[in-house]
Amino acid sequence: MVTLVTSDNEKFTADKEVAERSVLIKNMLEDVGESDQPIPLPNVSSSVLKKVLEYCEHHRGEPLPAADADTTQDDTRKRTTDISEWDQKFITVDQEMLFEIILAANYLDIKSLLDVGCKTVANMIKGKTPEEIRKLFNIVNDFTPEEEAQIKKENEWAEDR
Amino acid sequence: MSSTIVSLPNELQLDIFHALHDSDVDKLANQDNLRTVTNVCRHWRQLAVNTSAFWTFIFVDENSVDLKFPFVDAYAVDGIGALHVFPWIVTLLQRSGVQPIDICVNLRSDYFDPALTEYQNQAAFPWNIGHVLLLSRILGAHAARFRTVEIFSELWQPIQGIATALVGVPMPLLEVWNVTRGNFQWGHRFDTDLDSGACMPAIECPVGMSPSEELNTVMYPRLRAITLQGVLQNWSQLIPRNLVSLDLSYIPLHSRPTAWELKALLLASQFSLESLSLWAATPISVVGEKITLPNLTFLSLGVSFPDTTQGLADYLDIPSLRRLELYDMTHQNPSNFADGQAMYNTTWSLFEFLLHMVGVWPMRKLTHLTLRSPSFHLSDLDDVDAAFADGELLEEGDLPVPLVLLFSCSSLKNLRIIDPDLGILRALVSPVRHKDIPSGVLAVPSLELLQIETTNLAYLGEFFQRNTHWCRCPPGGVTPRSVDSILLDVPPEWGGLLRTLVTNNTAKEILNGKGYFEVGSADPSVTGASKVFDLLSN
Repeated sequence: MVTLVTSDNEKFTADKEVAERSVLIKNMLEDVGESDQPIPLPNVSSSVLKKVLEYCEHHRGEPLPAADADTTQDDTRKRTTDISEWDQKFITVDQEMLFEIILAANYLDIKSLLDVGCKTVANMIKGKTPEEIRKLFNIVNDFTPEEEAQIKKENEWAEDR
Repeated sequence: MSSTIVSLPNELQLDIFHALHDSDVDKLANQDNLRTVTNVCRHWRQLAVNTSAFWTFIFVDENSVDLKFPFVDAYAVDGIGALHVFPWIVTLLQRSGVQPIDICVNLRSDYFDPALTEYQNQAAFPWNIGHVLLLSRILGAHAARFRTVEIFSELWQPIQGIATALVGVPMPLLEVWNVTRGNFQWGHRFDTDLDSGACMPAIECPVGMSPSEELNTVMYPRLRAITLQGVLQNWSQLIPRNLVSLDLSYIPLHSRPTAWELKALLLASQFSLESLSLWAATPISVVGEKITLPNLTFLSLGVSFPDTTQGLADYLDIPSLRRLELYDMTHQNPSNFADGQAMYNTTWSLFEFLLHMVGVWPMRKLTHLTLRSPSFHLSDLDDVDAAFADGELLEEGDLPVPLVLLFSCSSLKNLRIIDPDLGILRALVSPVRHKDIPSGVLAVPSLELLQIETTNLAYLGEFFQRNTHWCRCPPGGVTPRSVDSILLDVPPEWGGLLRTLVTNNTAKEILNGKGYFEVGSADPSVTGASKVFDLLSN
């Protein structure tokens, strides 16, 4: 078992196999060797780690992406925004938690969870107008009128006519 | 309150955009989702626009040009002018930076009328020759980055214009070259519509120079797949070698490669070629020539007589063939319908060719067979029925052509029939008695997949009716064909009738390529059609 300590000082225990779905934790465990020392995760809160461990538990035993996956990202990336049914249910959370999970997946280096998070946000963006996206994510339109005019002109030629 | 998403690290925002980019894969022409992202705020615009990998698909269609921007000489238009004439194309080329790019020029036009001449169609097309030349110049400047080039046009002029700009231009990253002239009417006759000098010279070397291995290494070292449809080439001067896939279709009669030219082209990729497609593209005569393609596993052949040589089966030595597609194109050739004798000669030529092919190609090793628009005589199959009813044992020489063809494919696992006539469907359900199995046997007795694409319910109905008859045969009679899956490509509303014609041992499942079948509900209290995925499900 592995003990993990969150930013709000809460302790979680998890099977080594489950915790090691995080490349960060796996590397840390390799570095410290056999030890009962808890692993501090100062960038992850307890509520988020709970979700992350739930994900890792569900996907335990599945093959991890190869270490050099980044170099062949274009080939290996599943070229859709499809998400499995369980993952979809898992990631149905409020926006704040969704971005926390993405940040945690990135920090803990759990590629598949990061992928699910990014695809979920991509699906939220798909098919929306710029104004709808701004409203959804509370983004300020900071284009100058000149920039707006240029974008408008660009869209005239790019859009399906 | 600030936006959480915009305050994420840039790398994570880019990961999200990557996911969005991947979701655009089916409609890369417009890249709507990613383009929308660039319209949300400055930060997102900067991130997305400066990621060159997002902008590598360059799609050109007839609407890509600003017809309001006037210019006289395409060669005198500078970068700013080009941006005015082809605004989005030039923008994409700039944004893609130094990335490899995929070009798709799709000039298929609603204005095109095959009944008109090339010249008349040109006049109706919104572009003029200046637009073609300017586009050629714009694209040609980025040829070193081309990874895929696809050009689709009914008009010849844009094809020749773009191709000419690429003569002698190295394309070191090019992997796929696909040029399709969508005016297939000339595929079976002499193209009298173009100037005598018309040709598509882009991947050729000048006459007098040898299209050597060294030249290929300099020009297109990565090119592996070529598709040329309806285009005019100087075949002996084509540079590409070591191809994996070659597709030649609808080549006008006067521009077909000769046996020697095709042999030279195939020899240049003799050991690498795995897939070859020749539809109305074979030499008229191949006397004395032969080419061995030891690694060819897929061959698609579209034949129409008299413009296909009878010697083709001997010309192609293909010992590793596993997947064969045969397209009976005789109905496309108007000369075949000139009179009764022409039709007879064409049919006779086709049957002679098929019988010879069965004799010399490794049909017993085939795992996949596709028959497009097959057409066979029903009367021959009536004779087979009569022989079966009389208990007559038949030899291979007694069988009609479709049964010779099907019985020769003894290892077949996947049979696909597209737009079948009744003859081929009847052949599939016509048992034959022979000395080893006097009780009678059906051709291709065991299939993993039988796929039928048809719009003729009567033909399909008769097929299933006869098939069910043999499926219900008592032990000791004809052994039913064992089929894992039947995949039909038929209107869903045929489901109700088809369900009454099949039995549980017709196959393990019967699916529809359209997604589902409409059938009457199993519950009599429910009226109206219900949808089922598998026709055999309850």
